Amino acid sequence: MNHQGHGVALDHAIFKTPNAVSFPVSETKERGPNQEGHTSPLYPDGMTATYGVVDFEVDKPDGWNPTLVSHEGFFTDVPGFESLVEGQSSKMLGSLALARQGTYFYWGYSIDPQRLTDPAEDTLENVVRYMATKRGERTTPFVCKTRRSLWVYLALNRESGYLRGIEEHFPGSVLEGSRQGYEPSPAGLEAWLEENLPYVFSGKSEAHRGERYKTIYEVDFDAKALRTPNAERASLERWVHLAASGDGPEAGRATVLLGRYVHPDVAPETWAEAPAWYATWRDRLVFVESAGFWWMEDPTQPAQPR
Amino acid sequence: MIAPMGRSVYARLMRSTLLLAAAFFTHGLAPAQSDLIVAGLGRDLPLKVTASATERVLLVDLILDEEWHAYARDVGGGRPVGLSLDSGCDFVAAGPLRLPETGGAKLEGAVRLRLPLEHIGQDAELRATLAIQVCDALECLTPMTLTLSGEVKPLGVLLVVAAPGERTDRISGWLEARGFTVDVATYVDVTLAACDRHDVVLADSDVFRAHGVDGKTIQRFPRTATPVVAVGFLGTQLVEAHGVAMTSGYI
Repeated sequence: MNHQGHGVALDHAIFKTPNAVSFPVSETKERGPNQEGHTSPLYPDGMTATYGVVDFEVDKPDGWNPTLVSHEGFFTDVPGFESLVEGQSSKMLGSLALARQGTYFYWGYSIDPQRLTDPAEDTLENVVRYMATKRGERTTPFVCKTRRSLWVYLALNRESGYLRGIEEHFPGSVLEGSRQGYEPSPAGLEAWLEENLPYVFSGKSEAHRGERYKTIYEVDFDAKALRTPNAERASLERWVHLAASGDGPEAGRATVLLGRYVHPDVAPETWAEAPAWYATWRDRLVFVESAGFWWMEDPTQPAQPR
Repeated sequence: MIAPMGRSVYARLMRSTLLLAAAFFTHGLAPAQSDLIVAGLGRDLPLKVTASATERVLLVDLILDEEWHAYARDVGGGRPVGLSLDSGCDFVAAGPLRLPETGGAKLEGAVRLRLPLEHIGQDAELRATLAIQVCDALECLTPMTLTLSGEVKPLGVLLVVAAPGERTDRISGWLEARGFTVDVATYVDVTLAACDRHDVVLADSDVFRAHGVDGKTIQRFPRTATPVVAVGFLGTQLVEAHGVAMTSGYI
């Protein structure tokens, strides 16, 4: 990532208090032909045809600032996560540049005042003051990458023709039993994602951890058999209903799925009491992939003793 | 006293509450700076006032009910807003009062006043006076004089660096000029107790291949309850080491 940013969330407190920050646009760039429909936390409706770039550092650094994947929405399911600026990177249009999760703020540029522009200095002061208010803020732990990283291989191929992700990294990141019949081509990956991505999970066992790719994914054939994508609220409610409804194969599958996806910290003693449990917890549950593909307690709400 | 207003006090209170909530989220007015006590504001007025300060700026936030306004300058209507520091306190104004841009002279809705400060005293006491008059289309309320007071204590920052040097001095000096107190530790010797003692930990990093700290040292970085601003490459490693998702997309 270089010294610039775009998609600046100027309505956020870090650009307003105590310093009112104004970032002059130093360049207007055109969206690339493969970036149409590009979405990210800061461009949820897609990139506009042109976009303004602002300077956080006075010029290009003598080296590189980190490029952190943000454009495929890695972190959008972390409750309370704030993505506040995207950076310019030759590797991709969006790179996480300024962001907050819980008590951590990530500042992707230099903090050396010799390197900072005036608005960046004002922003940095605001960030330090803003973070002083975040003591005690809860968040979810990081266990695994989200399923969107599988989609990235297709996105990178569309952007630059990059094939290694499809031919090598994807197979290395998915359990063999979950990629039977996978055709290692852009069309093959697209078809696999279409069919399986809503049912992908990880973070549950040693099988989901690898030395090279860290996160190893699996397709949940139980969820797929019930046509219940694991992150959808309607799926959770169907599992709750089925688990309490009898002893048939669907009830058994639903009980397995509840055990797989409802975090032990909030799960009931037995799933026979699933409806009553759900009535109590309904408004406090969120699905977080990066925390290990769990329905879990929303950390942005005050903790509730059990 | 207050002129008769002929409006539902409840409705006004609700509007004020909503506007105050909106302003809270817009400005992030949780104590990013020291909150001040506002005295002299009557009840059931179409105006809410909160104030806060750092060592460098006094911020006064006005929330005016719908259809009510104050004046940024004298246009022959109500008395314009005035904000001054009381003599004898530990701060003086370091520049003129800054008001938001307005099309005319009216200040409406959520309004932030900014007065640059210079800390000149031995202590941290700030006392200021806000003079304001609010009007609607039919009437102006009696001019009000409010007092703002409190201690403005600097936030303590622990700056963590690879090795002390000129870069450290520049960053420390900049932080102090911005009104923070600064202690410095290195990634190798930083302790949990030192982190916990400060309001914010600022973990510095130079660019890729120039940051000078190995991964094992980062793995040992204290898991402090103090909020951390994690910078650059070492920041990505620190955040990942502490099990936070947001830097998991490193490529």
